[in-house]
Amino acid sequence: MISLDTLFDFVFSFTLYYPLFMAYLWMSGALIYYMHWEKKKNPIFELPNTELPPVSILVPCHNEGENARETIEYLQNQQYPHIEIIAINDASTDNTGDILDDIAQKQSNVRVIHFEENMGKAAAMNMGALASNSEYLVCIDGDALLDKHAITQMIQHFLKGPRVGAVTGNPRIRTRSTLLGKIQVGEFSAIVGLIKRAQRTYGRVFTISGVVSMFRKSALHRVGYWSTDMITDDIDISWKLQLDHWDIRYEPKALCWILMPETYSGLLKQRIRWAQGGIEVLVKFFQHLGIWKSRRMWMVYIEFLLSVFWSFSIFTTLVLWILGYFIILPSALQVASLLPSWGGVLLGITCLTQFALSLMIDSNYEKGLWRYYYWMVWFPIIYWLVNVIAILIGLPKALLRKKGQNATWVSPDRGLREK
Amino acid sequence: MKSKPLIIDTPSLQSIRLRFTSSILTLSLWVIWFYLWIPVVTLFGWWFQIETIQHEMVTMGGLQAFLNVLPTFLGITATIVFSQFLWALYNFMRFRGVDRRQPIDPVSLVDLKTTFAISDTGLNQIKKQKALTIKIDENDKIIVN
Repeated sequence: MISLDTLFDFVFSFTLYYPLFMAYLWMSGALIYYMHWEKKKNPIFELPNTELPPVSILVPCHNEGENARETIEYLQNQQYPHIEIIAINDASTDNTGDILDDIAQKQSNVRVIHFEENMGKAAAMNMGALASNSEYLVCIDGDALLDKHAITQMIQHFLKGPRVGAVTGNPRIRTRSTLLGKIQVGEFSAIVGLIKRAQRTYGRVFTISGVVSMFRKSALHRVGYWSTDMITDDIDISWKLQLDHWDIRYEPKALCWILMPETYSGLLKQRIRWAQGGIEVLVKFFQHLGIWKSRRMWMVYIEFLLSVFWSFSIFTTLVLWILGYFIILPSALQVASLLPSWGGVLLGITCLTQFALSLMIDSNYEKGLWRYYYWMVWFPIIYWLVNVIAILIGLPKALLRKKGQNATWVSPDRGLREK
Repeated sequence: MKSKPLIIDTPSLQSIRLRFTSSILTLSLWVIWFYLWIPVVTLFGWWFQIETIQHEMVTMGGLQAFLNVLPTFLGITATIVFSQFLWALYNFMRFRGVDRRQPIDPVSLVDLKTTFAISDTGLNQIKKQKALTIKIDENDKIIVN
């Protein structure tokens, strides 16, 4: 039988070393990905226009009056010959509907579907898929700006590989006025970008980026399209596709410029929703993982499970440390100091290395990124801390949420902008 | 239409409250960051007094503590990196030029009608009309207006 001493010794060591080892896992995975796939210069697609299949772009919108026009303007600049744009107005309460109608009237390749009632993003994309006239669907949020070469970059994966069900793009932060904005630039490079690359190396991804992804409609059809009752439709569809043995690729060259929260409450709300969504998916697909055919998903499942466990282990360590000042705890439960000593130095060195690597890779897509190094060095502290809070709150929310309830959206904090 | 800048970096838009919170947070996080480096800072302190570094690092076992952590750390890190490299190599070799999945047919109109339980007329309207309004009733039936 494991003694209390051994158990808590493990918990305390895990608390310190888990972020450290995850960082090395992501770094080595990203480096392998970079050397194998990304480093090669990928020329902009050489196929003649006549051989390129048509693509439908779905733009779900809910209260996007300030952004919809700009989003569609960027879509019209795509260097891809055959596109149709379908905007789905999910019962917006602002002037989104009027703006979309006006655009549709003036631009021949734009159509609009209005929902009478707010049905949620997943329902909007399902309706867009039904309305589309193409086998390939690009889904982009109504406040994001797609780089003009993005579709050309993403479609190559589908044309070269019949098992590719989806391709996820590379979201880049636009809102950088505040501390939170700046450190999210770091996060999307050093955490999100590295994780996506590393996960591609071990074969499966935890999630596509909901803000910009491309899908094969026949793959979506096989898995029943997007689930309308999941709080994070992007994580859910990623799992459904991969459990049906479709490949999900990451295309770092498919850039998409996005707005992110720049207030503390906005960021926390967003992260709680992500954590809640992740846990919902974890619970939903738990039974599928017992099947040998699903073994390729085990790694991403374990990775997320460990992050949940870590959140509770760090919470336990903190609680015990505080309790130690008020009551006498058994020696096994005593946390003498939160000072990680030489472990902290290793953590610091690891952070610096991780950010340097991510900036080196991402500088290929955005010039001048190194200036964010100053803001990034202690970012992991915020990242891991926000993760802990998000999981501690997201877990009960996910477990207590009524099943089958439509997941509708609320307008998020979209950073600071001039009106 | 006047295009907005792609990167929005205008700190002047921050409220006083947001500026204050960010400054406090920045300061505290730099403190925490230096907190992680205390052993190195201490080491440098000792470095300038060579006699005491011998005492602290060798006699008092400071070096030993560091050396105790290092092999485990390096061992686990190397295992992670090496396993991942082997796994990637195995996959690159196994799946190079191999695609066992046959291309499947694109989704047909009949497939869509069945899945979304929609009539021919409704489907035709959704696929062709420039603008339309839709209601989804409690039985998930699509009603096109």
